[in-house]
Amino acid sequence: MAILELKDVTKKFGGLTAVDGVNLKVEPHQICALIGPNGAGKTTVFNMITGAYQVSSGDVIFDGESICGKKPHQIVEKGIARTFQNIRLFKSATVLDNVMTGFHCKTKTGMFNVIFQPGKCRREEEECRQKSLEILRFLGLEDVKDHEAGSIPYGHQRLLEIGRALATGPKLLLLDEPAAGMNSQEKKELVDIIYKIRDRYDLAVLLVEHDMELVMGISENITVISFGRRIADGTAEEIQNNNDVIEAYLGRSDD
Amino acid sequence: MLFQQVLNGLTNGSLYALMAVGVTMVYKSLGMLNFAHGDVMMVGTFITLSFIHMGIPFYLAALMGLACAAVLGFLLERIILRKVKFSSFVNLLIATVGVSYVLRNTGMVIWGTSPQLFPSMFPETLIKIGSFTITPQSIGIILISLAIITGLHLFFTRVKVGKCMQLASSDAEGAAMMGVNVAFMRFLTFGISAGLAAIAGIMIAPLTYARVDMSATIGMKAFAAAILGGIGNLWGALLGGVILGIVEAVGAAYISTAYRDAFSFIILFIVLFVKPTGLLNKKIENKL
Amino acid sequence: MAKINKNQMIKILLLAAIIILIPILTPNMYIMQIINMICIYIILGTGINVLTGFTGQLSLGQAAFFGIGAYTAALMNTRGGMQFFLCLIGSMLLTGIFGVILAVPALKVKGSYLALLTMGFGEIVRIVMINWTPVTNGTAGILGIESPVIFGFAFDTLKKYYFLIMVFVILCLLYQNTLIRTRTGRAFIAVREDNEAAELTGIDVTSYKIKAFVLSAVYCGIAGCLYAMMIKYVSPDTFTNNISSVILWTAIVGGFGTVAGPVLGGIIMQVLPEALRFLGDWRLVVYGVILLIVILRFPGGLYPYIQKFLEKRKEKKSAGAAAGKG
Repeated sequence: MAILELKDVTKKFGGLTAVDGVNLKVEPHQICALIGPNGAGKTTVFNMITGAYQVSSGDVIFDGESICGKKPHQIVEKGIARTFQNIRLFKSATVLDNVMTGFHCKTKTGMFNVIFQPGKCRREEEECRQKSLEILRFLGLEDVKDHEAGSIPYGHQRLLEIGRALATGPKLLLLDEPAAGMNSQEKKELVDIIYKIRDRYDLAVLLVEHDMELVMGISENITVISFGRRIADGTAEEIQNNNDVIEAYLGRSDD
Repeated sequence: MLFQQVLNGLTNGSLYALMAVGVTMVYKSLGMLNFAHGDVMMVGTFITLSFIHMGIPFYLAALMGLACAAVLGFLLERIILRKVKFSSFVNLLIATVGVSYVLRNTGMVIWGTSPQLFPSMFPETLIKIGSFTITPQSIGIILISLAIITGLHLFFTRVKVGKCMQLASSDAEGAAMMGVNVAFMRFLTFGISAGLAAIAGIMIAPLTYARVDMSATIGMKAFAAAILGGIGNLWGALLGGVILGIVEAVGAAYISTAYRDAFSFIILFIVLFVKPTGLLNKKIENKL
Repeated sequence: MAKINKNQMIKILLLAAIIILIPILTPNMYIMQIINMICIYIILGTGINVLTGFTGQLSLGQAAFFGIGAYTAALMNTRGGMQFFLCLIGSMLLTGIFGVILAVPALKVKGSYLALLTMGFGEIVRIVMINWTPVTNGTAGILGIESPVIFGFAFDTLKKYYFLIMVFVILCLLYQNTLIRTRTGRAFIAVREDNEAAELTGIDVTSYKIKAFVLSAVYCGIAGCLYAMMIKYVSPDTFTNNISSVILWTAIVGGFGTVAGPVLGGIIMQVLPEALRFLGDWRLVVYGVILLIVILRFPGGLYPYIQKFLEKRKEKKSAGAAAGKG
């Protein structure tokens, strides 16, 4: 059974249809990509999956359950985490605190536990800290754990954002242009990291990315959308030989 | 009775509108409310009053008060707000609150805390039309406010400097690229806004006495009017001011005089809750 | 909370000694009153710090919560004949409820709109205080509030009262210090830094904004109750917009988003106007100007600058020591 399934998902803004009846499936443990020319509606699709936008019609099924109409934070709790195209860390908090914030929906203590159950609070805090450190170690960010998140290098910030997303314990990780602004060496490392994350945390990955080489190399399944419609779906090889896709990217050859 | 209240409301409303126009202008160029606006009005009013007490003729005194307020507006922009422009939003806001605090306390030291009589520029005779009465003051206030707002509208849409000011506050970068001196335009905006506040103060003081703490309630009503109508919009400010004035007058007459000042804030609450962009604005305001 | 080592133990003992010595060394009631007011403002500043410093929600209406807390305590005591703890709980509950009432419309707006909304709230509360005469006794205010008596011990002088306030100051600061290092505190900071990213990290932004409003209101409630029972009199004049600004400055001048900031701010904001008394009528003007300069010169408050300064000196010292050894 697919972990994520979009059924005829449509999004209208006023009179404009940004996404028109898109179908998409992500199997567990699979790395998938969503590609398309600029303005095709990729980010809109992401925003509908994460609940930032309401779906106009159609349905989003996650883990056998419809998540339409749920609030973004509830969807995170169900197990979908995302990163952002333009990094959005909690800049003035430390690197460690950023990841610990990610554990929010996995932990419970609130304003009153601090007073009435300090022991429980401390235990949970410590556990959360250890787990966060583990994630930082895994991503190679342990050395900068006490730095302000906004002050570490760009590449590290991208990794940290992934780390924060991992902390929420996702079954599906959405990466919005993870390679943007990276050089080829960094891209290679990113690919390795994505594989490692997938295997270690046993999750599925859906990414939006412009770098075709990266997408073709890493994805087991690719969905292509153009002007809000799905125009192709399949393996890298199938996509590369699909006429509609070539047309969408290069324009019609006969005009 | 109701008509009489509406008329009274219209009088106060046009004064709120005059203040709100100044608020709106500054909001557009600064990206936030100038919390010292009401106090600039207070200072302008009292300076005028001082000149009158010195024996200077009313209109000359008013003109000088207006000029002083405008200078105060200029100084405010140059000395303080320009300094914090690039630091955080909270600091900018706190700076205007701080200026308000300083102005108010300065006012208390110089002019005292007790309300003072303020001469009206209009004759006292009542005009009776049928069963209701109207003072020349009301008519004068409404007409002057309308004339000023219309004049400003023309200034912003027809006159070159006005157009430049408009452009500088809505798109500073674009304006700078077209050779507009953005800093100077902002400077002007503050001056004009302060001048408008002084005019409103001079007209309002005969109705309510000149009080150092007049800034608190009237200033806040100006903000409320500006937001109610849709901030950044001249006609919105007019509409907002008039609505507030009428609601207040009618509410005071039919519900409770004591809670008169509370009505406008309750309206503000409702508007911010239902349509935070105001009545005449459509697009979502993303500015802080 | 880590285990306390010897060094920290000494520091804590020293602090305790200072706290106990303050009222003993204080020569007169005038200064004692100022010290007590500092303590009350530390609580108020801590309260707004939760809301504005940590969660990023500006408020210019804190005086309203302060006033609601004070009036609740005053009424429960004078009309209901209730004792300190009941009054305190009453103040905390009612201010908490008003925190929710303000938070709901506040969720929709931000920035200067939020500032105006909270300011309007403060103004409405003050108008109600003045006009709801049967309950609040109008501009005359409520007289004859009793001093708290706890387990038979009456806190009837300012010096005795000081210890009672100090207990609450310490509790409030400890709570704040602990809270911001836990899950809730991190959520507050996440909301301040980036609403949307916080929501997509699994934080219920709406609920945390409400929580911050309520928590901040409850701090004001505590301060209000303590204030009413110290001054023994409440009137609408005490809870004006000016006081809201002072409360906000208490947190800002000290250092926003730091636990120690409001302590420093409370001291500065209360001592400064007294120290400027020699200026006569002009003192509040000078006070405002000084604060304005501080805000312009030290954005983010004094505490972070002092911290940085001390760290640098420490570094220099250790560097000097190392050089000396070498």
